[in-house]
Amino acid sequence: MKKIKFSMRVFVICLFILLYVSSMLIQNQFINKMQKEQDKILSNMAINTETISIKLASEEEQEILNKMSNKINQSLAGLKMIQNETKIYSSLILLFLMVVSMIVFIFIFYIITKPIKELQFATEKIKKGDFNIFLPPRGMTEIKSLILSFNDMSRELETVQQKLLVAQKEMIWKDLARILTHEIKNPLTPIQLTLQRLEEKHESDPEKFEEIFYESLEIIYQEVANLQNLVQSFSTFAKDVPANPSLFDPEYAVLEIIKPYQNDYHIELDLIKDKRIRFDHTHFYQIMTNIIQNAIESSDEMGRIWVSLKQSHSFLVLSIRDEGKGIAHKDLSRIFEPYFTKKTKGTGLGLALVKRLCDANHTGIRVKSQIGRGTEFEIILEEAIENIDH
Amino acid sequence: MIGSLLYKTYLNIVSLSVLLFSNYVGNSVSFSPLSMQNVGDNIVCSAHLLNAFENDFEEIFKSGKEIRVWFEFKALNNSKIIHFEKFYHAFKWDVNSRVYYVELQEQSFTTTAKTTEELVYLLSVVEFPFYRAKHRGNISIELTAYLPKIYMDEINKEFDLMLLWNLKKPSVKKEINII
Repeated sequence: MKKIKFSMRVFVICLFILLYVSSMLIQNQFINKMQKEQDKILSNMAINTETISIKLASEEEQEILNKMSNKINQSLAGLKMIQNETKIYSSLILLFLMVVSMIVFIFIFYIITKPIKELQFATEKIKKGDFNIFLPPRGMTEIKSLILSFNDMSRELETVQQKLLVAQKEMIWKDLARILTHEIKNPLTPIQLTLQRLEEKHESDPEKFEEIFYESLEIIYQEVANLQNLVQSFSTFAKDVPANPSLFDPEYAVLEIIKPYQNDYHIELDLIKDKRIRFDHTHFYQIMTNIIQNAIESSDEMGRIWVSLKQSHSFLVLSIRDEGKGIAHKDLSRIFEPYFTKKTKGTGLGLALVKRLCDANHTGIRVKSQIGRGTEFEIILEEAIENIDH
Repeated sequence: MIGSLLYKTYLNIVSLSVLLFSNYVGNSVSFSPLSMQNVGDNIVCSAHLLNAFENDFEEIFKSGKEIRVWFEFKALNNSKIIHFEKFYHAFKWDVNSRVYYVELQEQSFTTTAKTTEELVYLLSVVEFPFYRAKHRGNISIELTAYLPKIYMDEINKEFDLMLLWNLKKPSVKKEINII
């Protein structure tokens, strides 16, 4: 059952009405009690009517007594009517006053709390990242000063946010420049050294030159290929990655991807059979290879890697776990950021690309890691119930 | 129309305020159903006022002022008033002879009542003829009662006796078909 939440305004208004009506009722109870006492006294006065039955000797005296009795009776009737009028009109006045005072209270309360409500909305906006807020200072002095402070704070936050954005951009460019320099330098150095060696041998030892020529060419080709790979990975990351989902069996896809690694590395598999997922096949391959590559790089030669595919409710959880170095807790939240890397050789684009590909396929990815014990990536795949596309 | 609506709203507000903030009871007056009887060319209509003088009337009865209970009789044909009559039942306490003098205007009848119960009965029974020969078709008959404002000369103040009926005019309606 949904819990009903009362806002502060509703609570205060309800409390006021409750207290007000209760106090009115208590006061009225007292007045009613007093009126009852009055009624008793009035009824005692009615005994006067009995006095007219006393026959006096003279007719004149009788006439006087009758007149007196009439006067008393009329006064009693008048008193009774006044009492009735009091009961009716006092309750009417009370109700009128109650309604008017409630309206006045609600109106004043609304005026007082309106700026607070605006502040609440503004705070919500700030929470969502919109710092461009200006609230007109109004209301009571304290509220006005609160609004002014709030405006100052939002301005300050906006300035800080802009500065942060500039700093972040600068940092990204610096990081990118550093990575690019480093990554380009890495293959350039062996190329330069190989060329120097070739030149040197060509002049000093032509026989040896022949011998090392093809070996050197091989090194140069390899380093050029590395450079091409580097350019390729930057280019892939910069591109949009729209998903083109198709239906396939994740078990077969995982087996295909793992096959080339199984000869050189110790990979243990535990894959659920006969399941279907709707996913971009190429993206699936890229995600898997990136994570497997990371697992291999962080593990030592004897390290084992576990790849499992298990059912969890209507989802399939693809897990890749290694026994590598692990990721420090403070770095865990940053591993999917572009250009963030702790490896000596790496662009910091691999896991960022993995995250982008998962997002493009509306798939969740989570990571658990412990320094010295290893890392586990889990990809949450939605199970498809259709038949496989042919 | 608007006036009647506003008056009804006012009555409801008064009822609510009395209910919330007062121990005032007053009298919840109503009419018994109208009964009709053919007597020659006339239809004799009769009804009783119920619960009209139960509370707070004792002092008024004995005030020695002539007090009239007014009745309005209306006959409507297709929302058009075809007959209207206004009459009263009056009473006055005579302190000397210790009786109530009662006049029933519609019956041109005057009498005395010794007790309050007798007076209440005389005041409550309404009986009047309606000349039917003039009218044909579906006729709606409506009887309403109300109390006047009285001026108490001994205390120099006017009072609205309708307060004793909680400001509500009792009324009764009946549809008849005259062939």
